[in-house]
Amino acid sequence: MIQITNVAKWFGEVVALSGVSATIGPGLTALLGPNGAGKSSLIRIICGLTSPSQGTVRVLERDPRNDGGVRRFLGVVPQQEKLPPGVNALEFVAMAGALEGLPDPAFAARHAILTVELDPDDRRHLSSYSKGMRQRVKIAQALVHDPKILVLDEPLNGLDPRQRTRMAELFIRLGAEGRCVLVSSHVLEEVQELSSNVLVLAEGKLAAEGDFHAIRQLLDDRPHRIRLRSSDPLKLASALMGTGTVSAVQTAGDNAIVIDTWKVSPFRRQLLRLVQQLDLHLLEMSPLDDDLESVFRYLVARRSP
Amino acid sequence: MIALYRILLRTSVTRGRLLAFLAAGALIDLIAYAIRVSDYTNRETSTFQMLDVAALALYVPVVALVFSTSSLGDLASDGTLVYIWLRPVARWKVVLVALAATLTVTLPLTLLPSWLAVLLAGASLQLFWATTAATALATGAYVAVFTGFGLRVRHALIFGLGYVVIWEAGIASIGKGPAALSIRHYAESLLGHLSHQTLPGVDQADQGPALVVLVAVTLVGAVLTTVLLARQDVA
Repeated sequence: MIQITNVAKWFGEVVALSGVSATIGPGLTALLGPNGAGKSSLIRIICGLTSPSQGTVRVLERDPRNDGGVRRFLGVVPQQEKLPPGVNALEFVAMAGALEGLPDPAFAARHAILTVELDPDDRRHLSSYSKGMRQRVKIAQALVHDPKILVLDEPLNGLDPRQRTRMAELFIRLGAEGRCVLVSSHVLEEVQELSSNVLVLAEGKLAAEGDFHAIRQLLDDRPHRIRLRSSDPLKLASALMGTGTVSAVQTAGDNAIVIDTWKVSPFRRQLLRLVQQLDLHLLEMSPLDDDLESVFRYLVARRSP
Repeated sequence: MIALYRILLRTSVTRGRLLAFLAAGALIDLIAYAIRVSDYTNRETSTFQMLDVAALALYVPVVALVFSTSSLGDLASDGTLVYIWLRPVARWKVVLVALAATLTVTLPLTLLPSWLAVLLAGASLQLFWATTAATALATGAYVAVFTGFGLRVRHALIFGLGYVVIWEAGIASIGKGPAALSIRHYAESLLGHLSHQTLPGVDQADQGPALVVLVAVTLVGAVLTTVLLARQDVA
């Protein structure tokens, strides 16, 4: 349904996207990446909100930037939080329905608002809504015309855990019904709940794509750097080198050593065994490169020629 | 489109703006009343000149500027334009609705003080109708131009105020060349022709061309705004 071919986007000297190609079919696909990875730029290009600097995007085989007709099939949740002032949820969603040319926009709006578990009879202006409620209103306006394709930019932001689960279930159901649902997120665990089909974007490049579990495995198999503080760091260092699970060890002061390992799970097992065997006190164990940024950086570096 | 019209109207109309312009309009009316009580011999000419300088040169363009730039411009700058832009609606329809919403508030704000000024000054019915035509056409032209300006230019209100004060009210009244590029010039020419008055030291455009230019500026402004909206990168 969405065909992305060698898309690049730059703003002056800043490259937001570079050589991104992917095909997104029916079902739910998650677009995963840290903040600033280019997710929103890609979503804006897919929706026709901006044109790519290079490459092409086709939505239902049409150019979303220049063929306005394709927008009838698109439902979009943009990233920005602001909603028009002075209107309530029903008026706002009904306006979306009216602009879509629905025969009964008010009825469709009520249905969409109920779908996201809000009250269509709530006459308060949107400015008085909480962040989570505004987020659900944004989802309602995207659903009002029952589109074939849903593009949702960080739609779970600001939702409480219960609503997060309910909305995730809604997206999964919409995908299972045959719609193309693209959901962006920068939270790995969120994506795990949503979809098995993932596109990973990092530093403007497509870092990985495919089954979530395969990508998760890839992330676990990368080299890890861990700081260990113990009662006798030198003894621990020499014992660890003998296990075959550690590729490098260096002292870091304050009774600490920093080790590099490619085999996280065997390393952990060996570490526990050694601590008991050598009668050491393990005071601290902290991963130094487990943040998402470094994980994604690793994926990009791995994919680069 | 009615829903869009209402939302655009609510976006640009705030209580503060309305009160500020009602106060400014009242000031014009106060000057008009002062003319009535102080000038018995040349009341018609004095009212005409006051309407040209205070209303057509400043009040009308500033009213149009404030409401027009905020119509689509505020939506573009705060990111809510996306909710309109993404819908399968012809861009010219969106622009027409935006212009209609802006004119709904700007025409009463510009016409009512002008009408009241003519009445309070005790001027002729001829000046009343001349003021109506010139003010309405100038408001339309300014609204069309400033709506596109607001969509394209960041801080359009500040730059627009500079344009109104420096160009329309200042440079354009100095010579024939700059005047030809000023909406105010054609509006005051129309006002002069229809009320059979002349401004001292001002070369007026003929009535026909003045009318044509004001209508043409409105149409071109609307078309350009449509093109800008269609090509706009939306946040």
